[in-house]
Amino acid sequence: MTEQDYALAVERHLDMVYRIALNWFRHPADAEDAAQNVMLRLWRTDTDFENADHLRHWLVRVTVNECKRITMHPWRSRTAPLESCAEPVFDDREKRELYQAVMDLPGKYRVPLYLYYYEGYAVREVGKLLSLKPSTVQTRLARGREKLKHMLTEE
Amino acid sequence: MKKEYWELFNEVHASERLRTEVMNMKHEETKRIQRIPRAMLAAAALVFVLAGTAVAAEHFGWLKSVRPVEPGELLTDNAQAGYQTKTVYDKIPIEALTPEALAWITSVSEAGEHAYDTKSFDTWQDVENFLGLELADHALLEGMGTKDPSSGRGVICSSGDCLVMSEGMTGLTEVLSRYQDGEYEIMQTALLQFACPGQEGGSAALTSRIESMGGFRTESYQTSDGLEAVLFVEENTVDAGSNIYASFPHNGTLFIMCVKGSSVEGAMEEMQLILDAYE
Repeated sequence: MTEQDYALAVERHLDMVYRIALNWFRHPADAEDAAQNVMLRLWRTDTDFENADHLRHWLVRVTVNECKRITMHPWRSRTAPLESCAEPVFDDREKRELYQAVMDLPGKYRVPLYLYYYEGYAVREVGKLLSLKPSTVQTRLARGREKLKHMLTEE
Repeated sequence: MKKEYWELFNEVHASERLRTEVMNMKHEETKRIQRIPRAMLAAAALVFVLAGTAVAAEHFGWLKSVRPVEPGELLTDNAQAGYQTKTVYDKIPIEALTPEALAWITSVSEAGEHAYDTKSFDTWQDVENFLGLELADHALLEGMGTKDPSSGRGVICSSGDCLVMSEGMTGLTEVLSRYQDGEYEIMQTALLQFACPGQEGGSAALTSRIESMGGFRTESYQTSDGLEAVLFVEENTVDAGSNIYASFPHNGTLFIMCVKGSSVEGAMEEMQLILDAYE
């Protein structure tokens, strides 16, 4: 990968990588660590990306795998959120409540919801990216939505 | 809901600091280590890296040098170096695995650069049965409660995927287990490296890297049965606790043990009890 290609990839996809990791970990500090590792992988990889979609798909897969890897290492689990890694700030109260509700969801719902709602992946694609059956993704999306609505209604 | 969700995450961005860091990585991969100011604020993290030989520094761009840890040494430098503990041990012949374990590990290895898979078991004994290996016989740990009963006590993960070992280094399998003994949280990790037919190098060594300036000091500890461990002592973590890490070879496997407690004295006492109980 050339420096120019890398810079372009960072420009276009770093936010996506960070958001996926943030949905995975909830904590910005962990999300940043994961995002940095993913981008390091990108810089080092010999993969010959066929097009923009291929690169994006690769980054999602690598981000998910990196999040899994970090989660499995117990010495990571004691990392606390840091003041220097601030939580996202929203001026709008409704957005603050929605963000809180999303982050209060169990982890298994957050990433499928993000990939489906924000990144626009189809259920089948989300399943492939997360190594889940489409029916499982469908169920998680439905339950995630239900829980979100329930939490927002309660508030 | 979809519109609100989209608008919400459309306002979430990676920080400028992260953006700058990842851009700098292409000029100098060791830039990532310069995150020390942030890491200083965090609970220190001790990252263990399996290296095939002492040439780890060449494999891992972020290690500027690798040198042996001396007992009693205070490790508070700027984390540009790796520290090699004296734990060289023989790799396990791949033929020693059960056919089931061999098939699983092979399938993970063949799945590609980023392959990663996990298996959960209820007990450490179940893990050993699956692998066909005797890793540790530890009645004290087995008698403790699990830290997270829902995830099972023994977990295997096999990966060709760890960032720190992805540069042509495969065949690592970790067995993790967590326990709770009163106030103490305990984590036992066995790092297994297999000698595959046709692969060079019959031994592996542990290289560790300190990610923070949190004040690790090292000690050595030897049990009456001859088990020799290097201890990393971390006091006053962000969550006001203390962590003791121990690394030692045992039964052809590299073990990393972590005991977390409120005081370093208590955690050290617990760690020594556990180390003494390895059979």
